[in-house]
Amino acid sequence: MKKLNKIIIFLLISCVVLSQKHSFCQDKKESIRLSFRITLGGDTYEPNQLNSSKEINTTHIETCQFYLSNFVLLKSGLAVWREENSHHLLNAHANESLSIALNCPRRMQFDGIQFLLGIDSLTNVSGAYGGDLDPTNGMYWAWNSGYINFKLEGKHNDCPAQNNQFQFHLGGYLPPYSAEQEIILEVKNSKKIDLLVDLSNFINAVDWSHVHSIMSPSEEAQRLSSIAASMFSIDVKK
Amino acid sequence: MSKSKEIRITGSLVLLLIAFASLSIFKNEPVILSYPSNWPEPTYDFSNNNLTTEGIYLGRHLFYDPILSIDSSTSCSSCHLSFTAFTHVDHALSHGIYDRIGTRNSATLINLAWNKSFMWDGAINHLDMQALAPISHPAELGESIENIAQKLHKTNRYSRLFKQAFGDSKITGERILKALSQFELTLISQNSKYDSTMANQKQFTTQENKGYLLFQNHCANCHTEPLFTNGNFEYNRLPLDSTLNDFGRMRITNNSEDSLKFKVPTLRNTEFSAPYMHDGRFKKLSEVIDHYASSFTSLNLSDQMVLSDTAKTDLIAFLLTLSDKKFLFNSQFAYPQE
Repeated sequence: MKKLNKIIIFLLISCVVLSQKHSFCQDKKESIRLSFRITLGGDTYEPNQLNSSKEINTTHIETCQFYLSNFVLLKSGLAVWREENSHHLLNAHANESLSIALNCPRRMQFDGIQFLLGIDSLTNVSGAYGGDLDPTNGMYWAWNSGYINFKLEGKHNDCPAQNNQFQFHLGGYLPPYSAEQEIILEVKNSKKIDLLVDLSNFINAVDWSHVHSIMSPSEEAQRLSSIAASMFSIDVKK
Repeated sequence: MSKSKEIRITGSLVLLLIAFASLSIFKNEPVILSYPSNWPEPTYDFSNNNLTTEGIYLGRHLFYDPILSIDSSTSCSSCHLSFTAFTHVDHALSHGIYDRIGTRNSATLINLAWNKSFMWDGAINHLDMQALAPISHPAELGESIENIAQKLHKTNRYSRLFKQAFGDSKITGERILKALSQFELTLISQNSKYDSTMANQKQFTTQENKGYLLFQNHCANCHTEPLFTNGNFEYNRLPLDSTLNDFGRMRITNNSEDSLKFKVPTLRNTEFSAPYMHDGRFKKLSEVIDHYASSFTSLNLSDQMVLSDTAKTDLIAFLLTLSDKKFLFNSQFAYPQE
């Protein structure tokens, strides 16, 4: 009888352990942490700041959100690891979103990192997803299927619109206006990689007399997306 | 420890084990859609949204609930009524919140699992994402999916329904949309007289047969059997309505070749889905046929559509065989009484 009791207790504990197996897998130790620092006019962007003192023209950012996806680690230009379900929504007003953990095998050797600014076309046509891709994040066009890759809203002194307001919702996955941008950066093999997102690269490239509002896929959205990609670099300040 | 006590403890542990095992293997009741064997495979990828009784139940409740609109006045069913092929009869253009009028006729919701795209201009590329369009349109429901999730979260009823459908009571945009999809995917119309005739269970009348032949000659290129749509965007010579300036597919593709092209709707249950066309300009089927007969000299048709009055009546007689009372009056599709 005592032996039977021991067997039953063992089976019970096994059931508990096996049912928790899923959460054990989730607790894998992260290997590489990507930290994104957003800057404007050379200063680190703080959500509550009203303007950048170093900018000649006052810029006030009200919304800055963008998708980074399909992360790949490179070695001599070749992919050595790809992140699965690789979709991350970064929000300049949510600090915790500016840090991404890549759970790759330990002692991974790499010298480059590749990712998309935006969401790939396959994900765009595959229906509803949750988490960072959930449509409640306000980064999905309700009236014309597709994700908004990069959303930047605010005010600029030179913007001729009402209240100097600008709104850039850059997206589009169908050719000829597919707007997602591939970004490749050389990096040092490290568990911590600091990246810079310099909004000035984008803001300074805008011809305010020409455009200050983009709300749908277009040639202009594509052109501005390419400029947005130039915001990304390795942060050497840290 | 006495033997009887040992037995009681052992028995309790065994029961606990069985209870735990049954909890860990508990799954929702899966639903497999059935359709005629000669139909093509559905376009919808069910692996990303497995149908379950609980998911469909939740989707049906959401479909009929005006909580989806900003002022709780309008639900999906306000423009998509089950008895009339899930469209909005007697309305050329649908009205939503605050009696605001839209720019398009409400489409039927039939056999959506086979759709390649959604809306008259194909603006929506996946069924899961379709509901976002009317939800956020200022002349329809005027809401946002974020607000809806918050509103539902405040109700005990939906916390319970989401838990039944998805395993926990978290209400996300993804789950709202997938539940709606699950219900809408069940709206399959396959029991019309046409279907029974094709299955050799019934026979067309002589008039219906004549109408069928005319249909095959003049209509089937776009309204392809058995779904009665090819799912493509076509130009059917409807003159532009300058009060609406609706250029159709071109708005989405920015391609001038798509000007005035609209998605071919299914003709199933067309008897009950008046008025017709993307802007509801034709009240009767006879007007539709008159338009095609007068407008076309040649357009991917084997020969010009010259129809006598008798021929027009025969054609309409055939179209009436596409009515499916089992679909229209299916209580599982209608307003949930429970």
